[in-house]
Amino acid sequence: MNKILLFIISLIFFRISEANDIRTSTIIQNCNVCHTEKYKKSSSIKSLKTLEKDYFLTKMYEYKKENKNGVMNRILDPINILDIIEMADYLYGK
Amino acid sequence: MENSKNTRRKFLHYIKNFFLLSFLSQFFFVKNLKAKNIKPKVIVIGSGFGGGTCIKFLSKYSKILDLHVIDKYTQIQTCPFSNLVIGNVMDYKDITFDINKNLEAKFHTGQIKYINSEKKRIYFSDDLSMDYDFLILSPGIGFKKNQIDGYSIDDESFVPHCWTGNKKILEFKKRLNSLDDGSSLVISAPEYPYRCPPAPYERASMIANYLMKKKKQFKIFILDSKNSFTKKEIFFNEWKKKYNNSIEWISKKDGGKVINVNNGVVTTEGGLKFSSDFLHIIPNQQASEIFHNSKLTSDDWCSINPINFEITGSKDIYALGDSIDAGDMPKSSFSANSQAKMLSMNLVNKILEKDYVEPVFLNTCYSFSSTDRAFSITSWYRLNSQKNRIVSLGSKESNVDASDFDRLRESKEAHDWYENITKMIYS
Ligand SMILES: Cc1cc2nc3c(=O)[nH]c(=O)nc-3n(C[C@H](O)[C@H](O)[C@H](O)COP(=O)(O)OP(=O)(O)OC[C@H]3O[C@@H](n4cnc5c(N)ncnc54)[C@H](O)[C@@H]3O)c2cc1C
Repeated sequence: MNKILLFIISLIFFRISEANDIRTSTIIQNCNVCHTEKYKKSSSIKSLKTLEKDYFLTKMYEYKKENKNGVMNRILDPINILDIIEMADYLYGK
Repeated sequence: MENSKNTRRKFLHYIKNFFLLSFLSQFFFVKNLKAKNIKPKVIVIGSGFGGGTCIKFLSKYSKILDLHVIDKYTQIQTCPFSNLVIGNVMDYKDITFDINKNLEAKFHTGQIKYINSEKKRIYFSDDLSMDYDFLILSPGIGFKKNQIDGYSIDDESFVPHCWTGNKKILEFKKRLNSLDDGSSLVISAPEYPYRCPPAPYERASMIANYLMKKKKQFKIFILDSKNSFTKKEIFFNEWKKKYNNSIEWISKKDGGKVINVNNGVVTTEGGLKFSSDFLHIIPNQQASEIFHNSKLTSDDWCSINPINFEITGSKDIYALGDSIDAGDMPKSSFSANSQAKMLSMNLVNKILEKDYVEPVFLNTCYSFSSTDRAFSITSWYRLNSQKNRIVSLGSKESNVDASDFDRLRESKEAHDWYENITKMIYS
């Protein structure tokens, strides 16, 4: 967890994101194209509202950090860590 | 003295009249509002991906608006995943949904033929009409006429284009099924812009998937009106890997653009001739007819204000989805869904007299090359600095040389995406 915090803090200070001024709620409306409800048990796409805040942050951090080219890695590319924290606060409270 | 008394009396008289008048006007005003039902009447035309999402979102605001929905069909057959039906990966029933009527909205079945934007009235094909305060249009696409000599969209002797959701997909499959071994197939791919840019190439892949499963030899020529297409390198790689180059693409600059059809023989701009057992023309496209009939656009695509999606020059009429010029955004159901949320959010803001929020949009478009191999393209979109155009933040595709595992994983994600978006709208 400490490592995650360190990473988050360093990104806040050193990364300039293209998506800085994107409003959190409008970003989340777009995430909800896929992540509204989990209709099928086996679905790989989770509903955002059923997640824990810690899990959400860890998973998002993973997507940003890992050197893969999956859909989520690409979607998170222009979203910076500040946006992610704001999204987590918005979804699960501060 | 007399004068001042008079003035006081006059003043009291005015005051009395003022209170009486304001009481009466207030009384009649409230009564009038109740009688008129002050909730603004919002009509959504089209229950597809754009309209369906607006309805889902706006139905949560039934306390402040009177929502009506009109579609010419009671059942929706989606274009997304229709190629998988052609490829025998899914059943026709898997892509067919009843319109969700369990929402706080009034549903009407009928075809709208004309909108009178001055009278704020829409007309059905049987000449019935309905008034609106706010109108939202998401009727999908229309087709350009007279683009290829000898071809007409209404001529049933041609293979149906299957570029709108209708039952002709069964006829398409019947014709595909009747092909002999060693058949030659021609697909004519349209000019940009059109609904779902990778779909002609996914369709070629799914036709190949189907014929290969039936152990038939075949050759598919894609004759293109363009010089490139989205996810091209990935498709090329997949075709080589899965279909042993049985799919050949001929670009516009190599003479591929189809200009004439005669007795099953196709002639291209470059003078090439193809005799084909299965001629599948995907027509050039434009905004749905309703925009042209109602003079809501003089161009191929409808121009909108990208903040609130109001049609340029037409007050209180909003448009989204495939019929609009959405700047860099492709015409996809993912885009239509994203636009619908931003439009609805800002329409509610307008009704509540709040400020508009600046929209952002997302699109992810999956394509299949065979039963369990898929890949995608993704981009975020925002407004340009003048706030008059939707621009991409840069699109990114799956890797050209992705592993079999990654292709399989993306195919599962694609199915889950489809499941979620259709359930979200139709259940
Ligand atoms: C083969 C193919 C594959 C595709 N695959 C994908 C994919 O994988 N992913 C993706 O994101 N997108 C895909 N798309 C694109 C997607 O289908 C469209 O972008 C999407 O449907 C656009 O939504 P819309 O609301 O504009 O139109 P539609 O979803 O077509 O909805 C229009 C609705 O309006 C109704 N209507 C039209 N005119 C009238 C009228 N005059 N009166 C009353 N009702 C009317 C129609 O009945 C229909 O229900 C694909 C398209 C094709 C052709």
